[in-house]
Order: sequence, then C-alpha cells, then structure tokens
Amino acid sequence: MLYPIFRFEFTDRLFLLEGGMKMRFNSMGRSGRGAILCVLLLGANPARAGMTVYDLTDVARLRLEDISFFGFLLLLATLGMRWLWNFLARDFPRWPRLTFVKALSLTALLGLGMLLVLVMISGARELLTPGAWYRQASHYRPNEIGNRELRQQSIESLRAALMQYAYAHDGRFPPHDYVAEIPGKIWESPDSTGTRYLYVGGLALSETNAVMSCEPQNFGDERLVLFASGKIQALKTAEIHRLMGVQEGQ
Amino acid sequence: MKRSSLRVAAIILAVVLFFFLMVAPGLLVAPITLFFGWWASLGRLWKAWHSNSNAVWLFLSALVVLLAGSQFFLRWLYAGLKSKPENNWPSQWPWKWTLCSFAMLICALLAVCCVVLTTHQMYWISKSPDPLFADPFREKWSILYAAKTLQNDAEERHWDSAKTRASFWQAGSTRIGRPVWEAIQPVWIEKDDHTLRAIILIPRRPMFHPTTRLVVIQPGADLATHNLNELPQVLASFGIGNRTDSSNRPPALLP
Repeated sequence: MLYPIFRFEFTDRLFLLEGGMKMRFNSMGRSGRGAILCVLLLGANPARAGMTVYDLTDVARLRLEDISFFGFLLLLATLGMRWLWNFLARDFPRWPRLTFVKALSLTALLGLGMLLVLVMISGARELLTPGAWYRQASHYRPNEIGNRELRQQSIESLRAALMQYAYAHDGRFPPHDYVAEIPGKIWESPDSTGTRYLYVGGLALSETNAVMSCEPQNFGDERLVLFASGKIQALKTAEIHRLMGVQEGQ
Repeated sequence: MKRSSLRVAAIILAVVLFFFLMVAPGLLVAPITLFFGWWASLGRLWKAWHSNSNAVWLFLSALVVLLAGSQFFLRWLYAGLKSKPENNWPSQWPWKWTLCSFAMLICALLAVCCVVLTTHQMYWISKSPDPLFADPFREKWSILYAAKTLQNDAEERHWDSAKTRASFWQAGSTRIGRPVWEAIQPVWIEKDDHTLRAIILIPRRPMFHPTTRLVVIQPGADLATHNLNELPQVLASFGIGNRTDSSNRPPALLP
C-alpha cells in the first residue's frame, strides 16, 4: 500500500508539511482543501480497535480487477463502435446515428448472443456426454480416465520417491517435505495451483497403517490417501481425520 | 420539490456511507475496485505480455492480406451488383467501408469477449469455496495462535519430535472449522533423531499474500514471523531446501 510522504499537522490554522513548508489552511481554495482532505483520507493507516475488519481476499480482488478491466474494455469497444458507425453513416444519409446508450446496448446484445451460443454448446456437451464431468471442489473437470489416472499417477510418483528415500535412510521417511533428495514438483498435487500434498513427516516403513500423505482439501470430500505401507486409497475427509487420530470437540 | 428529494437522497447516501465506514470500511473496497481496478489489471497484463517480433510481423502481414483481399473482393462484387450509376453512391467500393467494417467487427468481438469473460469471472466468484471478504488480521492471528499452541505443546513435551508431531496432527477442529493441519503446513526441523530444533508453519492457501506470514518456532525463543516470499531464505537458514527447483516456492495465488 502506498502512503503519502507528507506529514500534516494542523496548528493554529496553519498547515505544516514535513519539509517545513507552511500553508495557511483558510487561505486555500475549496478545491485545495478538498484535495488535501482526500490525500489525508487516502493515506490513512488502518487502525485496529478490536473489531473485525473485512477486506477483499487476494483472489477476489484479482477477479474484481479483471471484471473492472473487462468493463473498461467494453466501454472502449462501445465508443469505437459508435464512432465507426457514425463515421460510416456519413456515406449513407438514411442510416440513423448511434448514441452511446444505443452503441452500448448493441455491444451488450452481441455479447449476450455469444454467451447464449456458448451456453447452448456447453448444454449440448452435457447432454451428449452424460457423466463426462465430475465436480472437484468448485470446478468441473473431465471425468475421463486420464484425469483420474493423473491423480493416481501423481500420488504414485510421490510414493515412489518416498519409498526410495526410506530405503536409503534405514526405513525412515523424510522428516519434512523440503528434503533435497526429492524434487519439489513431486510434492505438488495435480490441481491448477500445484497445492502441496499434506505430508506427515518422520514416519517409518514399519508403521504400515499410518496415513503418510493425502491430497489437499481443495480436491473435494474424497481424496487419495497414501499410507506408510505404500497403499493408496480414496477416502472421505471424515475418515482421513479419524485415521489421523483427530480429537474432535477440542 | 425535486431539489429537496435530491437532498434527502444525498443525506440517506451519506448515512449509509457513514454506516459502512464505521462498521466495515473494507466492504467499500469492492465498488472502488470495480471502478478503478482496471488499471491494476492492465499493469498485470502489461507485465505478462511477451512480444515476439516474428509473431507481430506474421499478424500484421495476415491483417494486410485480409484487408486487401476483402477490399478487392468487395470492389469486384460491388461493381458486379451495381446495375446503373447512382449519383449518391461512389463509383467503386471505397477503402473506408472495408476498414470501418473490419474495425467494427473487431469492436464487436472485443465486446463479446468482455461479456463472456466477465460472466466467467462472476461464475468463479460465485462458486469459489473461498470467501469474498475476510479479516486479514484473523488470518494472521490464526497462524500465530496455532504457532503459540504448538510452541506450548512442544515445550510441555520437551521438544520431543514424535510427541510434538502427534499433538499437532491429532489436534481437533479449530476456530476455522477444520483441523489446523488442513490449513497450515508444518516443516519439522530435527536436531537429532528424537528432538526438534525448530518448526516452521506455512499457510497452505493464503488469502492475503502481502500480510500473510510464516512462523518459525524455536525452543526458548519468541515466535519469529516472516513474509511468505522469504520462505527460501528461512529454509536455507536451517540448511534445508537448497535445490534450485520449485520446492521452496510460496503457495500459488490464482488458478
């Protein structure tokens, strides 16, 4: 966040800037006072007084900024459309002139028309390929064997790397998921952001029934779990918690 | 009459704004971001832009061919369809009409893209399991609270590796409604086979990257917090994570 580099003090109707410059507040114009108040308000630090403070999360902020950008582009496209139409209409005296509102309506209608076409395509896709998609947290992903296989393959790669490490370290698995022997990519689950697998470090090969690793929570309620024995199984979150020995109601 | 109703509306608006500023000023960030966020988005787009001179030349060449081809085709068609000369109409299809038509087509396609992409963004927002608004201090304090609890547990267990780990993994649902390890990734740094030297706690899916901190817990020391971007340096200070791959990368932000 940017903060103003000035420090303001109101003393005896004098307005002091940090550099020692003095300005008489009353002698300023209305716009000058307004500008100074704006700078003061924009540069104010948030104060924490015990209340809950809400702010946009990073992802939400990025999404809203993108929406704002698309809105801005839509306005630019509307202005371009209006200007071009009216420029062309000079050659056709019977053509009506386009106002901004009409141009905006035209571009919005075109956009909605395309949206309708896309919805029809996606609807047809659902109808013609029933069960082809499955829900993973907030997203729908192709329910093809390849995708399931990808998840399976990914956790199998992790298993192979962990087993190799354990055989080289007297049957002990890595204490944490930043050991130099295992590349970082192996620890990343196959979701869109490469969220790291949950890893319970420090187990041994002998602890066969212990949960060693599992997919993170954004994979939905059913996640692939890797046991210290090397077994991989799809389990529900509640079952994973039970196996981890989570004491509910603490 | 009209002026007085405007005054009433202005007063109501001022009261509502005052209410928001007093209760939850953060909520006003949403409309402000919608109005001015395009500038930040444009900046990101500019940074992500990698111009390739070959691709630009190819695009420009294709554009010239398209415009010239269309012009010659339309001129031919116009000449063929025009049965008799009319005073108001030009004798041959002008370049202006071709250029304007394509420019309008581009504007229309741009508008279509904007509407479709805005709909997608709104869909993602509506379906996202993450909240739109959150308390950044709460996120910061959640990890500090978890770190403090773990530090107390570790001290009680004399930094015994197995016992401290078990205490962490078996801890029940916290205030965030799930076990702490679902939201926080621990890195256990061992002193020897039985004792821990330090524990680093890293948020798995941080909601506020600039303010989110990772916490380092060490025996007999206060909790040390660091920016997420400092993770490689923190790991290196304990002699781990020296590979030059993505293992030291802080959690990703956007899908």
